[in-house]
Amino acid sequence: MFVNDPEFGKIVDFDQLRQLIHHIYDSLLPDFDMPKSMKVGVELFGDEPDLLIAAGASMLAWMTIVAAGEDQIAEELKGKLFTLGWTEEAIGSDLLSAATTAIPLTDDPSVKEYHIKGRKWLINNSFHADYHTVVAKTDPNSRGPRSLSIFLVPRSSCKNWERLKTHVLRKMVLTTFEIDGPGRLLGKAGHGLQILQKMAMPSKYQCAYVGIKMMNEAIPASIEHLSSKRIFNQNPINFSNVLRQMYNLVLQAAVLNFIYYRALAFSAGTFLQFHGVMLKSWLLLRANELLGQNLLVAGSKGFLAESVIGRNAIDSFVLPVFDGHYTINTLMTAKHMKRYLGARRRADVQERMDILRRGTFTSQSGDQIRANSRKLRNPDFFDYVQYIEDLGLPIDLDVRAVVAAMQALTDELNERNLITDPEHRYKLGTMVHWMEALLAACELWKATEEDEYLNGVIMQYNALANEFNQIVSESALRTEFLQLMRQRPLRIFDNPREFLLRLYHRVEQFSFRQEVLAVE
Amino acid sequence: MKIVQDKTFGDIIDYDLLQQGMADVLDHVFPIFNLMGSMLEATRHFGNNPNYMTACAASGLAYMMLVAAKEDKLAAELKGKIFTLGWTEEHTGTDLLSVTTQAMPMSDDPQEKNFYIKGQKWLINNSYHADYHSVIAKVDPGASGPRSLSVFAVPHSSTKNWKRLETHVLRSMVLTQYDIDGPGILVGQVGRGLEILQRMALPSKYHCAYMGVTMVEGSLPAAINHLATKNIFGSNPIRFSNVFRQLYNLVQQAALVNFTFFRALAFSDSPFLQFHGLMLKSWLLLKCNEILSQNLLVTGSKGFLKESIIGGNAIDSFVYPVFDGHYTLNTLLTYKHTKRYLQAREQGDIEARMQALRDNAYVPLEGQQILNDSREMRRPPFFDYADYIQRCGLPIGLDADGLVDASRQILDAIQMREATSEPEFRYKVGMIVHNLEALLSAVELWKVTANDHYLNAIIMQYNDVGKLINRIISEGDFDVGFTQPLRQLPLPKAVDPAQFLLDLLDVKRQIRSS
Repeated sequence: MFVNDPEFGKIVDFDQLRQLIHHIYDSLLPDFDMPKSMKVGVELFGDEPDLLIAAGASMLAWMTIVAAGEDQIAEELKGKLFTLGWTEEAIGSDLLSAATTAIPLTDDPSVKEYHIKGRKWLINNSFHADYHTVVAKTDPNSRGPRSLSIFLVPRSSCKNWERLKTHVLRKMVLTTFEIDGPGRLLGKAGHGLQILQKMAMPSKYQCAYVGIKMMNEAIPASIEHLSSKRIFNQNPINFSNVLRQMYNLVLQAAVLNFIYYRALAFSAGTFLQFHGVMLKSWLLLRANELLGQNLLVAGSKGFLAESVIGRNAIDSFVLPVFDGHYTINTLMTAKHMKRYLGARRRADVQERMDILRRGTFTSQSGDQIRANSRKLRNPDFFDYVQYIEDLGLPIDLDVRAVVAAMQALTDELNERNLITDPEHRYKLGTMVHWMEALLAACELWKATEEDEYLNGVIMQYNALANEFNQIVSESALRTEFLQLMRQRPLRIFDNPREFLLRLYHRVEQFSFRQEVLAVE
Repeated sequence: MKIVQDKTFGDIIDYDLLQQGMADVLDHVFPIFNLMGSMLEATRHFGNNPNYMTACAASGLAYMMLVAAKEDKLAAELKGKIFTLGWTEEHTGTDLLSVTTQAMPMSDDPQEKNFYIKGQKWLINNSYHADYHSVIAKVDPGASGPRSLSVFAVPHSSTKNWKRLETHVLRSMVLTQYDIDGPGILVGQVGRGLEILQRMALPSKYHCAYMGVTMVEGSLPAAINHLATKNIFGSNPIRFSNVFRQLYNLVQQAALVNFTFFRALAFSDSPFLQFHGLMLKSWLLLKCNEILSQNLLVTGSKGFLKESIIGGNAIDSFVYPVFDGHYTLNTLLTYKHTKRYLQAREQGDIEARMQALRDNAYVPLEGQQILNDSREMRRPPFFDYADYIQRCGLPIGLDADGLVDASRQILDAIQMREATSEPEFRYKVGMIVHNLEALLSAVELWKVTANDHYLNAIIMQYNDVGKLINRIISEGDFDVGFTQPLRQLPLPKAVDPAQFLLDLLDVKRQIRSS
């Protein structure tokens, strides 16, 4: 799937990508089956992050057409490669500052044909794509949320590509290029941001899946390496320090996997945005951390070009940043804090367990790209403390204290007029993410009835407490620090490799596999 | 730095340029030894380019083995050649006593220096281009004790079948796996290989750690300047409080890392050489990797461009805690100092240490670090930790006694569980010692600069020690009380945030101008 290009060196085989990409589009139109799009993507391109992300970029750009309600165009262009022509060098994630302009070709108010002019930057696939979904302004001076529109721009309207080489994903081709030619309006003028937001709902799941995939390759690869290498007359995995490092990585990776598939299982409902935002920031940052540590544990072998351990650690840096910066996503979560803490509805444990066990099956027909954004702003939160108490964990987890501490923190930030300050809003967003991670870890234990995952719960709790305490420390708040918890002892096992892999693979029951079983 | 297009290897460093620079660098290695001088010389020639600097270090360290073995004649003769560290074999990793490369004497003369070397080495930097290899081999292939290894200077003509091993990091260097099958010259005495390595390794840890320090020195200002000039949402990102906080935290840690390194150098021609070196090779390089990774994530897209050192350094920094001595082994070595470190009762002389820092920190000085007696290194003159910090007179309520107590209680709990030989606990206790020493270093940073802005660096490091202690208690389910964090001092409101952060980073200026 790679070619040696005389101009660009070893790069993605875009011709082959173009031939296969319709399989992904087919899973999204006429029926929008988000899990299937990922499954198909991984089956076709899953072994190589460069390919998977190039395909993903094209898919998201194409999805913008669907989000704009232009299904007919999307259907017609299923054999084409697309780019996300959003970013410009000066603006980063501040899309409202885009300087690309669109001038209608006639005075007809329902005109669809425009002349687009501007320069885009760091755009994946942009030299090879057939079409670009471009963010531009019909009134270059406007800056409001209604200032952006989306245009479908053919390659013939683009020129002067200049490759931007990167440290990561080096077989992709990103360029900066000029647009100067006709393009077609997608959806209505001024509705660009709305369309993007609609597309962004499912796209966060698709982006985050790449992180999960990278982890699921690299961490088991380390376990295998450390179980077969021999130093000091032993396999390194048998040394207690190495086992502890891998145990921590495996437990955390299992929790991340579960959080991902749990989000997917609930993505047909009002939690679509809330969970998606967390995946795109919190989960991808955690995946990057785990992959970094995994490389450091694995040692020299991981640095070889043939090893997925080093490759995935390095490539994973880009995921929390591109297609929506983790900071912006976390700031979005901060808006939910009050409702998250204040919810009084008693959630039904059995009902949630059923949804989790049915997994991605539930989300198949969620039509996530057409979700009602007003509903997503008010996810159906429930009483956090009550629910976790209803789960009946056999450990002394004081969730009441967590909620009280969080309340004290927000009260003090309110009192000090810090609640709207970006630093503290960002921190509140991370706190909601950690609370949700803790909740998810509790559900992991409940859904699997696997007591080993209780340490996963305690790890989330301690991480939450450490983050919370850091906020208190950094702003010298008078809110009291949270107490930490002790883990359950790590039992010594005869076969650490088997133990770790079993712990890792146990969460697979929530992944796409279950869907295959269900279909059979 | 110049990258050449090689027909076989693609874009690689210019080995001729490397050799020219090396010649000057080695003037600081032999006949005189100036540890920091050799680093500055490398920076002068190679501009801190990680590929050149690392290739230079590999060659320099391999050459240093001749000096460590007191082979002055050979060292004089071969000065200026490119060398490799021909140690590792694919199956051995850091377990050098398991090497299978063999050396057979060319005669029965017990003084014979010429041997026939045969074996295969793996993942060796410069190995295709080198003139000489400092090879580890066994004269008796059946032996595996500490006296089983010897070192040989093997010329290029005795090596063959190079196969390049491409890597994800430092991709302009050329590492290969290759066969050795030909004559080599014994370096030092037969069976003294490990001793020679250990002697060389004492200063070499500083060379390795210098890589991390220079990367942080390059990447943080690059991020600060980028975030101070970019314009989004009608402002420079550095003016958003969340971005400023992230950078402030990174700058405080980077200042501490920088000072800790040059502080260690200032005390390196003393019995602290090994103790500090171990910490640099593990704690410091892991910390640099963390700082550089977060720095990339704060910077965002621009850092990923190939032209940016922000992404390049973050990625390359993963290799330094691993190669030339794994961070785990270095931390396990520190474990051996724990009891003496925590129980020392001598009173540290604050004024003498401050004077030494004022005189020596950031100054290249000649020394004997390559010829140090390893016995002395095992017993550095530790002093009463908590007492020293207390007498430094910090204007914040920092309970150093509490940290020492908690550490001792953890040691006792491990002993009670009869688990003192468990590598997990040894490793964790080694980490405690490193983090305590980093806290001591933060206190001295504040003391020697008299800059109250560094009080938050102290508090951050205190909280890091606390977090580590708490994690050990939690994971080990130990009956020891958790350590509470300290609250930081309010974040300064800087008129020019970029300048403020750049000033805070520049520890050298503050000490050298005082």
